Amino acid sequence: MRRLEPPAPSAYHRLNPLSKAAAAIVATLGTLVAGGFAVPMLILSGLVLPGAVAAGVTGRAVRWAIVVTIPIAISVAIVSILGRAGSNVLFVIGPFDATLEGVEFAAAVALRLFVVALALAVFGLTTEPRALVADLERRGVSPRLTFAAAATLDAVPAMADRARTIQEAQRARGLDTEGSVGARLRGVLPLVGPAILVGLHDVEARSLALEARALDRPGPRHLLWAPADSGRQRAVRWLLVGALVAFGVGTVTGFLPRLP
Amino acid sequence: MLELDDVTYRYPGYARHALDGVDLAIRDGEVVGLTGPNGSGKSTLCLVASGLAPAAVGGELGGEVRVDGATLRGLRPHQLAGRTGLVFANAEAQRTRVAATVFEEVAFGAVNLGLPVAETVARTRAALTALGIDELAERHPARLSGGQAQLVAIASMLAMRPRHVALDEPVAELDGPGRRLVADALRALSATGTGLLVAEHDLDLLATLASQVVEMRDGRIERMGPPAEVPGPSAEAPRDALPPVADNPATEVAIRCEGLAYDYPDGTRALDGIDLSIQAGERVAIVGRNGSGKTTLVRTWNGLLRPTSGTVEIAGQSTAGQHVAALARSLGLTFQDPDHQIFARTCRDEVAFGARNVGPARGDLDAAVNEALEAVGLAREAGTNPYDLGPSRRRLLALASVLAMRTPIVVLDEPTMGLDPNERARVEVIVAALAAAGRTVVAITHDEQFVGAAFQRVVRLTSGRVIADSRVATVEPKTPPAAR
Repeated sequence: MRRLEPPAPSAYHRLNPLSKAAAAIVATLGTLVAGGFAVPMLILSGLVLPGAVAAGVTGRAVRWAIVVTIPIAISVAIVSILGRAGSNVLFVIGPFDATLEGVEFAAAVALRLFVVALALAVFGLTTEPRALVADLERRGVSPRLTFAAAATLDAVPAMADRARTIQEAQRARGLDTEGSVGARLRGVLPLVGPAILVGLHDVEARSLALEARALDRPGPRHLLWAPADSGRQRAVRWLLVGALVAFGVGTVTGFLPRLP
Repeated sequence: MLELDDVTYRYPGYARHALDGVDLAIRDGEVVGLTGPNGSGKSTLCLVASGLAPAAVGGELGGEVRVDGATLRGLRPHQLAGRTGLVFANAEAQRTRVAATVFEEVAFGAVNLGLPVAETVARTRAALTALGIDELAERHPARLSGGQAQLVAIASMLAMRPRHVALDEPVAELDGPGRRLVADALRALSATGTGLLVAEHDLDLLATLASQVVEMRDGRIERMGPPAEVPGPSAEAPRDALPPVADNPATEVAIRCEGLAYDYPDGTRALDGIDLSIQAGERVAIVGRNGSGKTTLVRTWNGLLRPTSGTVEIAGQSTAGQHVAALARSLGLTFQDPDHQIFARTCRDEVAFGARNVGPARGDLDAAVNEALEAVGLAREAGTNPYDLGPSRRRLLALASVLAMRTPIVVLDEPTMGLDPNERARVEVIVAALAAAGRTVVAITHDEQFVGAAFQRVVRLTSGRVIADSRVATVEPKTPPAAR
């Protein structure tokens, strides 16, 4: 008997997608709600990094998070360091005072961005879209909706491939996309038309092919496989969500002390 | 038995009938071939025979389509499963894109039917076995050869256990071995009792498969009978008017590759030390299996791909450091899928696009465009929206857009794919005329008949290497029906 479920490289990969999604969502919301350094560092070291290490994706996830964080962090740093009022002036550039308060604010924002990006990267790198949609379908979401979600996720790289091919076809007819900015902008129009038309044609052909394979049938389907779930995972999910709610309520009501 | 009884069909929004008074019967296990010029109604007949028109496509059906005496009228697409199935020419367009293995891809339809898992698994295994592709079960559906992908598409339909399957040009996009693979599978399939309706231009292929062949024209059945008695549509292009093309004296080198290698970003070696020289005015066909490096090779010629090592010279100039747009003045390239380049609102504007970028001086532009449209037989459609043309005529339009650039070198990627014999003969005439004008013509093709009729030299690639480079043994064009 062949295995119907796909092989997974680690125990973390094999976790139910909802469990991994819960970890990512709790890490994201907790980091954003808390602010400062202490709670984001706690979430990073206690929830996100252990997951990345367990899944063996630490290097890739950190690289991805850095790539996402750096451009935004640089913008925030420039605005905060030079524009944020404070009493501790570190240095002066023309009319701007760079303050310690600005540096602290920029560092806190960058840390939060990094934790959020890393949490989402760990989820993305350990969860196959089809595993997520299979799990959703098992939980009662419409097969057509889950199929549309999975196909949409897959459509992004397909559209990128198509756009590249279309651009190559126009360049082969002398469209200069290697010249000035103006020339590049003028070259956009010949790319947009085929991209849309080929996309529509593709959707039409695929829809017909899928209808030929009974996608329009109402009623439940018996999936070949769906990600496993367990009482322990359900308990951990509820625990995470409960902790997040308690933390949010405690912060808003002032019951919890404001951490640095 | 699948029966079509006095069937007429009109697409939604069209006044004209695409099928008109079609009577046809396909017994269980019988293979019926379907041929005729593009636009004659073959694809529509496949849609109607499968029940998807009007069930999924809409439109207006007259007459009756029946399976074992029961009408398909009023059934929804999923209710057709178990009765009929349809396989399209383009395997990629049929892929679900949500399956990570061939097994999941083939099982998709059976899962949709709501079958128990054990039944789905059994049907999937049986479909893979019936087509001899069990060993592909764990492969990713996007990483198959063209022939394998088409077999997976057929298996996906079989897993739903249809009694009859219509196949719309199932081998049109395949190389020789891929065609044989599919043909063998179809033969085995019919032996299991599945009735097949196979639309195909290649009458030789149909002769090996079908017990009877139906020839369509203008939505009607023109002829029907054993393959030997249905010669197919005649090639009406003026073959006799082919310009005399002598072997051109080799005076200048148009294309030279030395030690040419190309590695894809993932490290896959696509070209591996190609040494090739093509003289100005030569007509060269590049052949080889899907994935052998043919398209990669010609993309290094116009700079779309830069060699990993080795050199490419076009008309004596190295391509290194030259923009693609600059190289396009010397070398015009048509792409395999014409829809990747067509964007203008009229055929005239489409053909003028490349010419305006690189081609003739402003005063000659109109002449170049008219000449190109005339050459491909689309002069009367100059003001038509390209997407109102059928797929084969869009391919000819893409060819015209490169002809109008008047480049000394013309490279065509699968120019006859999906063309009927008449359209293919037109392309042969164009190749000969280009060569007679001293222009170099290179074509990537799987079409052996086209190679024999239009080229003087054939270069065969395997795994990114040139394994043969020889003169073409001329293949005589098929005798037109009038001469038989």
